[in-house]
Amino acid sequence: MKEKEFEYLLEKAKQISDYRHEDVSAAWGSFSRKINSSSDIAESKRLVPLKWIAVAASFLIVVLFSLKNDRPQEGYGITISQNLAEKFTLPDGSEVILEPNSKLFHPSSFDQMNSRTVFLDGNANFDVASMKDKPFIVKHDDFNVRVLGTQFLIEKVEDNKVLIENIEGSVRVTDNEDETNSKVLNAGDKMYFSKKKFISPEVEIKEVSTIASQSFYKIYEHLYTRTEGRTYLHINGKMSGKSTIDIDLNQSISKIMMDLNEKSNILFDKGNCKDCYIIYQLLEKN
Amino acid sequence: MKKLISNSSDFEIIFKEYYNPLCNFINQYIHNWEDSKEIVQTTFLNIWNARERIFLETSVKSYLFQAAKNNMIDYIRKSKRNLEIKNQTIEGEISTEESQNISNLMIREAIEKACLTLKPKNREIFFLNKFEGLTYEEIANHLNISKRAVEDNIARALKLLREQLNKDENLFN
Repeated sequence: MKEKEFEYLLEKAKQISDYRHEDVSAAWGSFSRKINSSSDIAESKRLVPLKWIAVAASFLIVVLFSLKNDRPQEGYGITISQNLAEKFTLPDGSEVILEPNSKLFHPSSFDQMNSRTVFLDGNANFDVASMKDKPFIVKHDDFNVRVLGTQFLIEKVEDNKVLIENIEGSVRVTDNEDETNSKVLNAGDKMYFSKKKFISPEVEIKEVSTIASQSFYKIYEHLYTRTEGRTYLHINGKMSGKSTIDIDLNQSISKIMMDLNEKSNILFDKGNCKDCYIIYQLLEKN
Repeated sequence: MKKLISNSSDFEIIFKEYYNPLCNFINQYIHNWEDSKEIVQTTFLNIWNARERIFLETSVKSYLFQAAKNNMIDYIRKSKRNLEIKNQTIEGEISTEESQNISNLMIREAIEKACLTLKPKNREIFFLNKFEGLTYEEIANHLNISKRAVEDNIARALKLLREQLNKDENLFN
């Protein structure tokens, strides 16, 4: 593209004022649920482009070996994230943020299954819909994570070393080959799994809770700096910078966001990565 | 004549490409983002339900914007609002002026998408300069960084965006 063509495009784009850009993957997710209930898309929406069939097939072979006897009977869908992280919703309403170059293999329906079992190759953040009688199980090459309803993430740190971080609720992580080798992670716990061993992260000095009155501007500045800009105010966002609330800025980003949700009139979207939030509004609570 | 949707993958691609420009197009008239989204979703729902019967003589873009506009007019009628919004009478057919606006919306969407590949801070600086019209100095003061850092960020953003937009084959269509 020549310099002039690029300048021309920028000029054209500038003529649109107040443009809103929504996450189209999320919009498609909610829309496809709508058409799912009104028509017969359920079967066809899981069709994958031909180029992925080979990938899916080879992946299927791998997972079938690890499935043993609990193979679900429903048809499968595969979601593959290439260069960008992708957020989507599973049939039970659980939300997944699949990080780039990761694959998630999941059934098109959990209805006929005793558990909600999915297969992960790569990194993902799960926000699991609560279903007390149907555990949610993430199968990985080396281990399984079993939960009823919670939020957690699985991240490959290096070859043969995976980080499992539990954000809410509790999860049980079990060695694929030795069920007695397992650990329960409670909210806020992190654990590495490497070469069949559970390893605690280096002991971090826990900050004492330091609740203090902070202005929204200070809180925003803290979020922006600490997440290196991954949490930011939308270009058309509003903030009453001088208003203050009592908040502990030493806690995790997700807990700060939860506090803000409780104590202020905040509007935000979760972005497609850890600690990524787009804030549309940060105002005093009425 | 070709079929608009041959399979659900086509539909997903079309949805993701046009959803934001369509919502913004409708919002320019009714100034209600939630209702704009509802109108666009209804448009896509109608298309999905009638997919076996839709064959195109025009471009996908023209078809979608016309269909969304028709739905918007229905919406205005049903909500018993006056068809004149902000002293502007809404014509049923897409006008030449609107076509130009639609092209600009599609370009803006392509740039917004390309911007997603930028780092957040880089993106923010680019937007403040190009779309909010702030000078380098104003941005530097606003973000408490040096003017040189702003210049570097803009240069980096422009380079990356040009590379991204090069990949978009439909940009001049």
